[in-house]
Amino acid sequence: MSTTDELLTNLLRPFLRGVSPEQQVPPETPLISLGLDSLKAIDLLFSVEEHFNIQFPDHMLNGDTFATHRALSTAVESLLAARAK
Amino acid sequence: MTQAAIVPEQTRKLVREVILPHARAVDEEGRFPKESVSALAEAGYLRWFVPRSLGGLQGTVSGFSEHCAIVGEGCTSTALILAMHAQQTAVLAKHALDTHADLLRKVASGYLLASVTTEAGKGGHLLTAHAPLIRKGSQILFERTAPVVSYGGYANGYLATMRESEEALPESVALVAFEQASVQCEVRGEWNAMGMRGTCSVPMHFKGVLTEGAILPGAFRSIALQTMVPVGHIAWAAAWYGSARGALRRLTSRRNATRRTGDSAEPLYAKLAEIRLNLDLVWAVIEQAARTIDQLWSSNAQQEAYEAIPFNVLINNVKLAAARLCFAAASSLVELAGLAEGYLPAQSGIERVFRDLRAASLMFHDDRLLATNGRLLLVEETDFLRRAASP
Repeated sequence: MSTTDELLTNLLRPFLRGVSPEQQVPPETPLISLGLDSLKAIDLLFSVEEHFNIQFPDHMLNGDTFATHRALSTAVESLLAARAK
Repeated sequence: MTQAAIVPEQTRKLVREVILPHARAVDEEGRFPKESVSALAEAGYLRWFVPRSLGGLQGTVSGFSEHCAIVGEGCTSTALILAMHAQQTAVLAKHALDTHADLLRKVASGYLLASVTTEAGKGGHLLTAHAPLIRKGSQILFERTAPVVSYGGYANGYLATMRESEEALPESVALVAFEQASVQCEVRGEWNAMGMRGTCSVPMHFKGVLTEGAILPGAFRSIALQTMVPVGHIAWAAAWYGSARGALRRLTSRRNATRRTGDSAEPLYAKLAEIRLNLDLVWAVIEQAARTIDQLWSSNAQQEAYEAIPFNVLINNVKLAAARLCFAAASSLVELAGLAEGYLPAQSGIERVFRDLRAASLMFHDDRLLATNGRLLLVEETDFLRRAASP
């Protein structure tokens, strides 16, 4: 698991229910089924953007990007890679 | 056959003859305004949102706001009771015609509905619930404690938020509607508050067995965003607006109550003008929101329209504007009217209105709405909320 994955897991945990400090966030489980609602999703967005110092472009701000841990991680890594260029 | 519409002049008459005359006693005794609510029931106000096919008036939110404001001019508690009842009725009318036609018919004949959404440890968050519905065969066991149920001891029916099941997350909310007679309903405390003293907002405990038919169909989020929250905010705001407007009217109609000549005259005029300015601003937002929701409903808009950020910000702003500006108006009125008229119990009832409107910011705390609006504004130019809510 990449560093991004680990960092993201730590950012995600406070917004989810039933994921204890020892557990990983299942990569493909819909975050909605773990308790993420739309207002929490906004807070999660702010947390991710601030922590990784990125800004999601509008076209990436949708249910798909925030659907699962994997989807979000992929999106974050692509933005980090784009910034590194 | 069309139901006769209720015209504002009828409401004003009711306020003059029944609602205002009882307001002081209701406040002093901290009792349910039974004379005023009965008068409203007899004249048909409780069936405002019931469809005509079930004996109701099938009215608009705009029309309701106007009447609710006039009632507020007489008595804030009565107006809030009317508002909250209307909120529940609208929810049933728009989302539960198939499952709750019977209850709606009873509302048309005078049933009063109350709301059970408060829960210990929840912090006033509407879209979560903790106490679960427990299914045992075809029965649904139901037990709910609520710290604040407005006029709960006087209602004939209730709408309560529950967690869908023991396994479900708190975000999975079901709304149930049931009659007072069908479950054990226990009032567990008193209401002896600074203001809104007639709302008798007591802690309650409910226990019983429900059938599947008690559960409103559809996602609770849709019910909340399409009806429960918009009607709630608009109706409460209209009540608060009316309350402040009534106090202002009563003060200005007795010109000898204020010193209007000499050095203090110009500041007096300015203060009066500012009070009225604030109230006009509140009414403008109420009218805009009421027009918007009426239009969304009549065009059968889909859930997506109700997820739109500008709409949500507006609906929150109705409550915020009314809560702060109506209380500010009442506070200014106390200053303006002085000791005899503003601070002591007087004909104009300004001190009662001040105490009543102090509650407005606490009724679903303004801070929560401001925090929500702030968040929404930061993603308003994107489509995030809409797209995040519909994966």
